[in-house]
Amino acid sequence: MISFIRQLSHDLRNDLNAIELQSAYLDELGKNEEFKTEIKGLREMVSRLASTLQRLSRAVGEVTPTLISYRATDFMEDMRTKIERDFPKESEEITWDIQLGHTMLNVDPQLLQEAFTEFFANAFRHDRGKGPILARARVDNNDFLFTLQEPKAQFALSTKNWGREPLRKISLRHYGLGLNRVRTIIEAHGGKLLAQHDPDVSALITTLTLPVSREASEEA
Amino acid sequence: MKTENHRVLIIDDERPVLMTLEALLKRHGYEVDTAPTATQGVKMLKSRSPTLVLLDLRLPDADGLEMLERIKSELPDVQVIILTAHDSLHNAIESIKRGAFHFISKPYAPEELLSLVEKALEKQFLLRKAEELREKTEQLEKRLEIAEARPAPIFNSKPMQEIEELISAMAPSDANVLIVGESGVGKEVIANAIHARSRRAGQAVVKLNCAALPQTMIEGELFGYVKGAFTGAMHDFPGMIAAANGGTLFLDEISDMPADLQTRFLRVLQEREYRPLGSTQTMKADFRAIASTNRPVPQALAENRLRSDLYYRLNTFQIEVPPLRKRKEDIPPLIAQFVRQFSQQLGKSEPDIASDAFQKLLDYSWPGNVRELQNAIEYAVVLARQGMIGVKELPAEMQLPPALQQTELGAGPRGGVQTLDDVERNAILQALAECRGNKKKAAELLGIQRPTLYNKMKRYAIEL
Repeated sequence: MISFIRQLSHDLRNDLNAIELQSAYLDELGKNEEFKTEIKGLREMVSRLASTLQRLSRAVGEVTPTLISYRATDFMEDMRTKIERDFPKESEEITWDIQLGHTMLNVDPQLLQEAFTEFFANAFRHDRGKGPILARARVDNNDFLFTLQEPKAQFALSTKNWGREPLRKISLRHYGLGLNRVRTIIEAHGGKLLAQHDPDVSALITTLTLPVSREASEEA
Repeated sequence: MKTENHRVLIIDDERPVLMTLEALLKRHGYEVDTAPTATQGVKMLKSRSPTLVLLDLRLPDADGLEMLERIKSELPDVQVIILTAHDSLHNAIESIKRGAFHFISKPYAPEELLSLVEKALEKQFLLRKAEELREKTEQLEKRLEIAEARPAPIFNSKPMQEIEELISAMAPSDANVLIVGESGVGKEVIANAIHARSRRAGQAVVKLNCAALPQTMIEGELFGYVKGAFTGAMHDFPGMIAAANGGTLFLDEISDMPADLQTRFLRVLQEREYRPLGSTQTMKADFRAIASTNRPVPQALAENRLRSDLYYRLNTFQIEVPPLRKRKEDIPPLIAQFVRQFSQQLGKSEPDIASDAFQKLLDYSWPGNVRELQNAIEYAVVLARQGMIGVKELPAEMQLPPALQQTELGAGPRGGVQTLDDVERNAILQALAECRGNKKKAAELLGIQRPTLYNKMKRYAIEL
């Protein structure tokens, strides 16, 4: 099934790229303003479709991390910069609490960043409640521990199999594959993903655990 | 596609992307440099000479597309792969139009990226190969042109047949050769023939005429120099020895090379190493040496024009090319060769040669040897009318009676004292030659009466 989706996605993206190039060419040929506007709209649609397909293809693709030694503080700093850049308005509602010292991780920072970004995107997107989002990073018992506490306006889902049920929540342009991809990435790093809804504070608390790179941390 | 020696420069301000890409590419055998800004990227481009650039379109200090244009204009051979976010596909397409090899969306799939990198390098490899082949084809075409224009040696006469046998025997070796002969006998043609039959034939034959250059320049031309080695050395120049690497170095008129330079060159022949002027680096020399001189060797040695140690080193094989007047059998095939050559050059059909004109060409003493014959035929082919070369179309020198031709005029004992009779005879011959055989004018020129001139001509057996 996965290889079917990947192949289909790949073929469709190839066709879309060709359409995109063709439309770029048409855009240059066209002199009429109305024609240009229509072409622009068409190109945007094609572009969006290609992007969706790429995401879909990646979501079902295998995860092969390129592991490197990376300072945990640097990773969180990069993460924060990226969230502030990608979600300038929403990021103002995040309270960051990072205490990691010289801890080192053995990770693929790009893949891991993709997983963390999905956490934040979900927090901004689904049932956002009132109050700040708390992002905490700690080292606990030789584990890197990241907790995201997001207030929820309503929450009726079971968190027992969090990230293990692809396609659970499907809506317009949303296929419910993001969390599944996050879990795959975390597990490919030897980590764990847990989520729990606390009805007392109406918040979803997601906890991500990653092993600390002991050797590199000692060197640091 | 081999990954060794491929240097990849990644320009991206996102640290996780930069570091993961660096690790990924290094693990697959690439040499990698990274730059988080366009400014640092430009520096790296200049100092590290990458073969491929992975360029993020969104940089903190420059527009990625402008950066791409800069790379492609300054280093057109370098392939560029654009790293872009989902939302900048339009830019990605723009970047293809501006010369990028391809684009890839972030976050990329490692296998997809590696495949693109390999394809980009393969494209660059093929482009370079195509360029090399184009250059090589041009070189070969030039060589072919030169080879077609270059006169082939004629080995009809007995002494020339012996020379050909010697060439066949020794050409395949790397032995040094000294070619001796009067000016214009075809020493360079012989050197070319040796090179063409040697195992170095695929490489260049580089010629340095020691008589044609000021003595101060020969050293730089031969050994090369580095920028600033002397006033006027504005750039590095590899020199003739480097140009002849793998091929043949032909030093024409070696006895005109300054004595101290002869010593230096001898050392190169012995040690097969040399150092360009101003350089501290010793270079390997791999060439076959062929030298020539138009001076008789004993005389050149006696006058210290040719150092004896260099002479003995060069003289592994000595070829003495006889003057054309001593191998008349070679004249007809040489005439045929030159008539064909110049007719082709001038786009004319090959003219015939009238029998009296042909006889003149055979009788002439050719003091300038094959070169003079070549020039005479060129002259005649240019002037040929209605497909025929007659006596009138030959140079004036050839139309003179044999007694007034140049060999006779210069035929005094070489290096010795002339008798008064010889001097007088030569003066009469010169006057007659200048007046194109007109005795009245010649007598006036000599300041004697016409009957006196007749008497002297009789006395010295000068017949017109």
